Amino acid sequence: MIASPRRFRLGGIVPALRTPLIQDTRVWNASLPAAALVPLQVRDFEPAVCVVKPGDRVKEGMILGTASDRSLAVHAPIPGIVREIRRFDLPGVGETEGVIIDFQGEFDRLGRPQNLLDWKTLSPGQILSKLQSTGVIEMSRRRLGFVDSLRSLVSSSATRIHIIIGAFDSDPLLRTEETIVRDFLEPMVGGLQILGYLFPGAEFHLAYNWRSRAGAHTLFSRVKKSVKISRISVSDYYPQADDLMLLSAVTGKELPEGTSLAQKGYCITSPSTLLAVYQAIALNQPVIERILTVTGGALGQPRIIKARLGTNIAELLRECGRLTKEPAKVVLGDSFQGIPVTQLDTPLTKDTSGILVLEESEIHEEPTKECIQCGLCASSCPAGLDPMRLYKMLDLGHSSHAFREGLDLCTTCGICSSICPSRIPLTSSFAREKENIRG
Amino acid sequence: MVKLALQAHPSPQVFQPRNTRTIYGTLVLGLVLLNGWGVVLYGLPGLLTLAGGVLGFLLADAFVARIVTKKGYDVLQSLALGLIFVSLLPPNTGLFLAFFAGAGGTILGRWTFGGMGGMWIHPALVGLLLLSFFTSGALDRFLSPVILEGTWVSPEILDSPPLANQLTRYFVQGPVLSRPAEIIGQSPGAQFSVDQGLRSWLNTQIFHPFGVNLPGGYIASFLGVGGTPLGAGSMALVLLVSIFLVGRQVIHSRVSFWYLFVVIVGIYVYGDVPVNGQWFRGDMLFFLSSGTMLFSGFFLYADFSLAPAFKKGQIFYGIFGGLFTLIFVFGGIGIYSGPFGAVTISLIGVITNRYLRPKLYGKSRRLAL
Repeated sequence: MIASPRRFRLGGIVPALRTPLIQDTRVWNASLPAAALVPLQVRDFEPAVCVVKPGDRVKEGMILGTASDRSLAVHAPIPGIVREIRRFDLPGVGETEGVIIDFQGEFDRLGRPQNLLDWKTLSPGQILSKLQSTGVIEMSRRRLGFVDSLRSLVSSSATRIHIIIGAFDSDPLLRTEETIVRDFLEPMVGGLQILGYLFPGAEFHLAYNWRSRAGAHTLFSRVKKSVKISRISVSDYYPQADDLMLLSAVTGKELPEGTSLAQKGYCITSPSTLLAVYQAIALNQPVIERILTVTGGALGQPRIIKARLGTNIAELLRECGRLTKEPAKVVLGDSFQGIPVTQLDTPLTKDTSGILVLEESEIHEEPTKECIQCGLCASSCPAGLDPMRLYKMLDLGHSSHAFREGLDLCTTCGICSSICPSRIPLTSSFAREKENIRG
Repeated sequence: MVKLALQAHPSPQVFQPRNTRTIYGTLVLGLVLLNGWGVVLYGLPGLLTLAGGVLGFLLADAFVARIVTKKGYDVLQSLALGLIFVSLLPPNTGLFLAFFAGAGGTILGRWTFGGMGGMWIHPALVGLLLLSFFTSGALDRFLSPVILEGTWVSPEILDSPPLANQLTRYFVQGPVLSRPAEIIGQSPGAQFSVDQGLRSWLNTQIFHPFGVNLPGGYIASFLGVGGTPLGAGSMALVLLVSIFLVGRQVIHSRVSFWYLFVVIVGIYVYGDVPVNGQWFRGDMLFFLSSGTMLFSGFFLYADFSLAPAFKKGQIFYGIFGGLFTLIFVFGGIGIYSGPFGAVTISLIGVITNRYLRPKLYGKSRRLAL
């Protein structure tokens, strides 16, 4: 009997998108950039301390900024000479410092045979330190602090550790994760084994949807003897990839209010992070490149691209043929929670799982109108909130009432605003209010 | 630095295609079809009623919106609400009566509660209530169609007192009409020319070979030619348009389902008890074929603006709406049982979103990790 895909308990939508799906899902190696702008800061983290100065010669993978408890290590994606260290606007972060490297010299890794390290000689503590020093983050989820999650899990009092791998993308337009799970089988197996070594006895749950089924089944067959793993088919409802919703679909349970995933013994990760873990531990390679989907109705040839960090978006778009239409919006990430960019010299960062180059007809943006009480926001909210009611409360200045009604449970997934026929900015007002409360 | 004419917007980056224009545009399209058929059937009186009701909504909305919101208003919204209102009116309501009832309905039902986002009762229903309480039998006089039919008018309908009186009489004297066919304002025994002709053909060609006989009255009701409201009379058209609305997802079809389920089961179970004292013998098909019940189920109860948002609330709303309708049906309210049921459920429907809602994420002990 074929089990129907599992999904979270409440709400959700199957996005109706006009953009055609990428048909060619082979990974395309992007050209190396003539210059790379490497930000010293990543969303959710403090800036790293810069250890280079203009004129310095750097090698591929050499450290540019050192990590602390609240910052991430940053490495040179290309060999060359540091031209400048300057401040610039990074979408999602704000004004921050970045290192500009002019490409020069030879690659130490690219095109050379890579030696596999015997990582089993390392202690779990050493592996965690190595992940920290190589700048590994959660590569395609909203919560980026992967190493922090692992550390919390180590110190967790939970009797059993569960690691959930969401082998699918957060948005139907993106095909990054399903491509990685299909095309990078060995690194996936290695990544899982490393996590299995870190957490002996941990249970792995491989969640996949209909698009990533083939890759997930192959991976499952390969690792089922080396780690305790189960596979779970999940729906393609949005926001199925959200941590809490994935947890709900996989376990049938929900995270009680006021507790964290790590406290309950759970860690949720993605194939692109497993790839980074494998490269960091087994190949001793810091995070200097990533795989991402570049798509949208304005692009001539949408592609899955492997590119060096710091490459600017304009160069990545050039890899996808010429623009066929005037783009109305360029978004880093997915169509719901992605970050819009206004300048195409914005560099590729570790947490960019996709770039959407959208034309006018794909966006359906319109002026805000009066609420018609359709209730679509409430019936789609995965947290079970009544966004229309919360919005009215905030509009009237009754913020405390809104929090009593559960505003703090809002994950700002964007469904309510996206589905609202009156285009009322519900999500952004909730996000702003939550931000105000946090101070 | 490469610059595009791009603007940074907050989340979400892509919206779903459905907007107020597609919602109300779909409704208007369906309602134009229904009322267009009404105008074809009833001629000039129907056209004047249509024009009066719609203009009442449009002009009142334009006037009040200018004072209240100072921004203007959504014409399609007003048009849809106005068309729902006229769909329920007898074709001979007339230009002025329809205009003032429509204007009063939208001012009282929509704008006194702060517009679309605050209203708790359908403006079309308020318009109907105004007509039933402030006019003498405006909702009880139905025309016979100018095409397809002769001069038939139900004597029960022509002679029946205003709805307010019927309500009073119900609570004082108990049910005054008993047979479901009478209750919905038509007589199954009445013979219509189109009904007779078409029925005879259908019976000969289709039903009789299977040993089934289609009785009189159904065809007339199916086409809406038996003395019915302007736009809600034809079961065939209402069904067609309703399927269109459900397909386009512009109504809460779960409410329609539960409402019609309760009404059909109720009629089937109890419909024949007042007449012959027999349970489970009610004539469901004839009851539904009047079209008005279907119209209420899809246009009034399932309306986006008034139906509850959550699943539990929608089921509650549909079930209790159906029960209230049955009370009115068996109480002898006649053809307007559906709308009057909707008025009643509106009184409690406003709190359903607050009390009949799912447990918030992480708040259910049963589901806690």
